[in-house]
Amino acid sequence: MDRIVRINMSDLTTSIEPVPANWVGLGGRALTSTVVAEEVPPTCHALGASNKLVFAPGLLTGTSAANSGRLSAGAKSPLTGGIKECNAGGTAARMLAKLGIKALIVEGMPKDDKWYSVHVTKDAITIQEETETVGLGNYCLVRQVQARFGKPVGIMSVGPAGEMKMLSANISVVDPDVHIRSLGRGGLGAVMGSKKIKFISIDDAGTPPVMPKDMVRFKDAARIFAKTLLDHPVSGQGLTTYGTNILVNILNEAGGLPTRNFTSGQYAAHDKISGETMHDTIVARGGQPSHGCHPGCQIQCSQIYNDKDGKYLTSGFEYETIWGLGANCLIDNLDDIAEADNIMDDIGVDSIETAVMFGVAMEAGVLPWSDSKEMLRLLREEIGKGTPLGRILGGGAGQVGRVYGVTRVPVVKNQGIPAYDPRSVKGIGVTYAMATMGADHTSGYAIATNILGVGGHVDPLSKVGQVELARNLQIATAAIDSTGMCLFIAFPALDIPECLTSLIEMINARFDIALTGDDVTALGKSVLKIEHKFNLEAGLSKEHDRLPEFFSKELLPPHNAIWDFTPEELDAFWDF
Amino acid sequence: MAYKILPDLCQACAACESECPNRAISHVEKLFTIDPTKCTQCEGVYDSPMCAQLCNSDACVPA
Repeated sequence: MDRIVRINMSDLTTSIEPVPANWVGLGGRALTSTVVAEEVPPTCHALGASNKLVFAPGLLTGTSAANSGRLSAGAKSPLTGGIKECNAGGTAARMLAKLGIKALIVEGMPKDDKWYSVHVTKDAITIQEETETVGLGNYCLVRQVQARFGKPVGIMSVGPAGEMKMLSANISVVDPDVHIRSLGRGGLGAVMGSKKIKFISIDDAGTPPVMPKDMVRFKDAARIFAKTLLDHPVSGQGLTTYGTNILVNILNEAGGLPTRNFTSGQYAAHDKISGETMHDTIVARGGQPSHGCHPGCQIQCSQIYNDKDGKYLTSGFEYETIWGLGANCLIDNLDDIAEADNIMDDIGVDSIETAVMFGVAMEAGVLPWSDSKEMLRLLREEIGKGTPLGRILGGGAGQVGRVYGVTRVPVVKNQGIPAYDPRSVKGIGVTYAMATMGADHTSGYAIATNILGVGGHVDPLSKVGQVELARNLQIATAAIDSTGMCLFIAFPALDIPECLTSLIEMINARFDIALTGDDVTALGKSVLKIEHKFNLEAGLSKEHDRLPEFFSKELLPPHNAIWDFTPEELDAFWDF
Repeated sequence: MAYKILPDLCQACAACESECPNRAISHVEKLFTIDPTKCTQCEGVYDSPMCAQLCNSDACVPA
């Protein structure tokens, strides 16, 4: 029987409740955003006692459906001031689902200055004072915690950045190989740190997998679903072979690879940091070019990247990180970017926010362009140790722009713009402007249709059709984020009709219900509207649904593209 | 007797791997295999082998 677990950090108590009727049909993002909207005052301080941090597996998590093991986390974001949902792989979501925990809600805040850890098993949820791991980075922490329990428990943790409540702090989730995945964006690590929780560990011993109500029907659908993932060229070949970093060369060719803090769309040294180069380097050094971020991942877009001596350097080495420290900061040394990725995972900062921040910091003269060694020092010695400069840098791109008086600051709702220039890929620009999350490519990944030819083609340089594209993708994404599915299932879902029908069929067989495609679309719309209402009440008005001014003033080479949407055109996004 | 995974049927969805109580299943060259020296057919843990219960493509069969 599914249940809701509450962890009250004000009085250090836990409670288990039945699932309220209006939450029964929800999972993942739909559930975290609903809980936040119902229980968190929109105008509260995100780092105060009124905010809540909600973890939820998706509707299909815990079953044998491929790629269904994503964990959603939600709260009011200290970075954007609006609602936030992040999702990540790792082992925690599957464990929570097997334990029948539909949502784990952390609320309140301790009155003392002690740190705590939370341990979840099928028999008990316990809060303990934590001393041993306080101050540790995430890599050391996960090894110590798993050694403490003597088994591969699931872990959600914060590094030093979360302890210091930096706005770029993320929450780390341990993966099946004891590496790190991240609930990256919006400063959720600062929220967890504000509640003085260093880590939450989960032991699913004694719990079987989640069994669908109609197993035969479920298996028939799951088989078809898995085949569509294998058959699509992006999910079945491209991502598996090169990971997300396949995009460096593709975006460079399209003139949409933001370079030198968004002043050009092409990077001369793109090949040195490309997915193709990365793949060959990984193979030559005995790493793993394909790797799953969670149990049940079929796409395997993650990887393990070794150093020159064949020793582990980092994993889950994503395009957005490589772009951000690479083209955006003019760093063409993939090993240095990999080392930075490892440090960011360890200290627990969002690798997108931090990379965008370094572009602004270089523009401000805090460090020279291309200076990867100084970038590594700033990460390790300043941000990681929380010096005054580190606290400024750890506040993200917007904060550094304000402190140093920089006007070219690529943020929306104070969250750094990732990896795709909105002037030359206009569909993603609409997503950045309108997303309830702030600038977030995963909210409505228009790159698929603008650049990759998935789900048809909409000319990336034209305004025509972009608002409708971004709206439809954001609705679909909000629904997918609620199932526990990896967003990359959207590639086959956009091109192969059986992918979506089998996905809906799996949900129906899991719960013995009869959802239609229209129901799923309605769920996505409902999630967006709940989030939008929260943001409006939090003070994020339509004037915040805009890109920074410089995108409308500065032409972007090589296409000399400009951002030219009117406010009225953008506001039409919400006409549904 | 142990179970095995038929490579022609395996879709590499990984559903079985994390649920094997003996950690007998591993990922090898895009497919999954069962170590027969570790497989106990889930005796004493589940009513029937969990990999076969979970496999969506009927690829987990007696060796």
